[in-house]
Amino acid sequence: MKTSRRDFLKVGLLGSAVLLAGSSLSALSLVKPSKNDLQHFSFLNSADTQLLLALAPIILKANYPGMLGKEAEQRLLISIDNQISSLGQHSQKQLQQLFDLLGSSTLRYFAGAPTIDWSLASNDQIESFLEGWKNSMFALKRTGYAALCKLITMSWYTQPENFSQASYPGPPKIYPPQE
Amino acid sequence: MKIVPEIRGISDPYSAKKSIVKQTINANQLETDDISADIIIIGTGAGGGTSAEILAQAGLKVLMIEEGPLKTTRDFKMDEQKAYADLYQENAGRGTKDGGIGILQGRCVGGTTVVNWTSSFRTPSPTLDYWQKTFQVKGCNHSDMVPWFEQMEKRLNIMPWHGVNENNSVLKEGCEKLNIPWKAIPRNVKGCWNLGYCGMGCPTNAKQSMLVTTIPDALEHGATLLYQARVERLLIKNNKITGVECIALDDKKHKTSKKIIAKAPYVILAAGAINGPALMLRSNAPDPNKRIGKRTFLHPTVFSFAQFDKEISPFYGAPQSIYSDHFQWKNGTTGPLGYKLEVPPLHPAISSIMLMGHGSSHVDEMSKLNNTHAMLALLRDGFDDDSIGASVTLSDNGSPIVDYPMNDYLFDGIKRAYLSMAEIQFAAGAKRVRPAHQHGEWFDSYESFKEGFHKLEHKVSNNLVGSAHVMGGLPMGENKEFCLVDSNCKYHYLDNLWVFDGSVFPTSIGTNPQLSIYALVCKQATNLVKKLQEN
Repeated sequence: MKTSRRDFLKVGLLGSAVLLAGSSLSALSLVKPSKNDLQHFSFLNSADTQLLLALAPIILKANYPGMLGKEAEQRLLISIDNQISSLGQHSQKQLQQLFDLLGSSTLRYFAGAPTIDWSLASNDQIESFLEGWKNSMFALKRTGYAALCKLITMSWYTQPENFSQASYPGPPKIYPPQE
Repeated sequence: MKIVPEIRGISDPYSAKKSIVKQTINANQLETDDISADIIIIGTGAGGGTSAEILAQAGLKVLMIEEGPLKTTRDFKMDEQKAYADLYQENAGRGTKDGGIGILQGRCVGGTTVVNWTSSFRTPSPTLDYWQKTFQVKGCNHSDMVPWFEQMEKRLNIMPWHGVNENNSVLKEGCEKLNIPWKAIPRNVKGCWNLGYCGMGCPTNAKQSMLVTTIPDALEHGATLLYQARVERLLIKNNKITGVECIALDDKKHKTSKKIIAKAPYVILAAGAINGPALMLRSNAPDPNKRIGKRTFLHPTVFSFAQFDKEISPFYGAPQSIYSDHFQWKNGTTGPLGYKLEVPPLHPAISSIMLMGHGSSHVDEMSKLNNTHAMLALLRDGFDDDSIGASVTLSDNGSPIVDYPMNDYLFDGIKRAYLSMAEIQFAAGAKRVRPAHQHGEWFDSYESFKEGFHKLEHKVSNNLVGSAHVMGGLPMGENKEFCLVDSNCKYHYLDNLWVFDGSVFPTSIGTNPQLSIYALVCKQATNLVKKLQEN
């Protein structure tokens, strides 16, 4: 599935955003993932991780990085990668299109996202992108916004270190079942 | 309600009993590439589990095939991340084609019964009457079904639950203030600790899921359980299933190169709505009217949050114990959508999704979860002409796509449901109420809610819509224009296939479906035994 992920841009979910751009896909330059980062994840490439790590502090605000500190980035990404890897083919394709769109500076221009590298985008730029998609008249953008928020918050609040941010005391202690 | 600090002294039925363990096989470890039996059951949820016990007790050599893993008591850690990964379809991330509805469905030995919230209702009579009238379902009216409800209620210890937590008390108190009738929910539990983690696999064996009841019983009666085996297709020749082609899945749910062919004279499909119809499509099963996967219903469910001054601790205690059907049949069986009111538990990860949105407001809402209550309205789809539900199709790799177009009829029901829930929440003393909507704000009185609420636009991905009940896709009835299985749940166009699960429901049920599946399957499997014994 990995090898063909760029092909998915030709069809489907974000097709309309691409049509909006009014150019042929082959002419667009896409961010090339660096091979070094790929080995850790089965789905996410380095451009995807850059995007997610830029969004996390805006979506999670004061809760990020919280008690996880330096581990926060890696824990979040591992959890998101596992989450996406378990999805059915259709949902994975949709997410691939979403990440590919947001990984291309040219497509970002037409999609109302900052064209600067995600890692360099200001908080205001990211916030205005999120609000724009949340309030969009296009269902595809609204669904894209919801998907990004879900992936990040779900993966964040499953980490036991973050339970206190949800005023959750945690589950009862369990002692190993007797044989 | 007392919060339980620790759990001790629980044994795992699958490690305690060697006699049942020896009947279970991880598909990866099966030494041969073929396996045979008197009867094959595909799926081990409410339908498969119930069938397996009845058929094995009758002396048939039963083979259960399950795509998911065998996870048992010792694996149930009350941890959302682990539970969603181990026990749910698509890591609890299954959804409809346009992303409008999220679907929670089980994927493990025992199926959704391992992760449901234990609510057990009889099929409402208006639903059964509607099936008889519209789909020509025979032998399933209320009086026909009563003995089967009774039998399964006894088998699974189903009775009304009275240990009501704060989250459920809000529904009860609000209804009382407004003179809206409410009732206690019957649950399938035995010696329940009132922990609140039904959705993550019961760590105390109290929930009478298929995993700890019918499946071990079937295994003791000589049945075999083949797990981590995904059924790719049914091999069909001359209107008969001649084999069931399976692929072994590794521990990461990936397909391996190991292919297994299972053979038996009779096959029962109990893979649940969505996956069952998808298997029939992959198998090119005969379907002259092109009905496979059509009329798939989800009980689309919407939510309303309420913050209280007092602690609600929505993490703990039986997740569902109070309900109201006041708005369910008000307009008759057809007509504007009716809905059932219940509450969901609020563990952090799932709540973070349900609250929607991002940034400081989301962080603030998360920090107040302990003082937050949520109510849900489960909408009864499939009864009106304007409610045709979803259709299941296949993606390139054969996995299912669920296309559920959300229309004005559905949004009309959704809007009325939000108003009902907010009114009850304020009546129960809520300080602030917010509909689970991307643009839903917090309101501090029902009057301001009504006014502000009308400004909200209801459309795909604006409203949080979920589903924990998948039904239909292979409907039952003699009306072949719509139906694929007859009133005995035998497939109309194949000689040796029966469908024993929720996919045979011609509409949604109007209530949490597990007992409806248990009772219908108990009846059908008992009749099948009689039929096979006559031959």
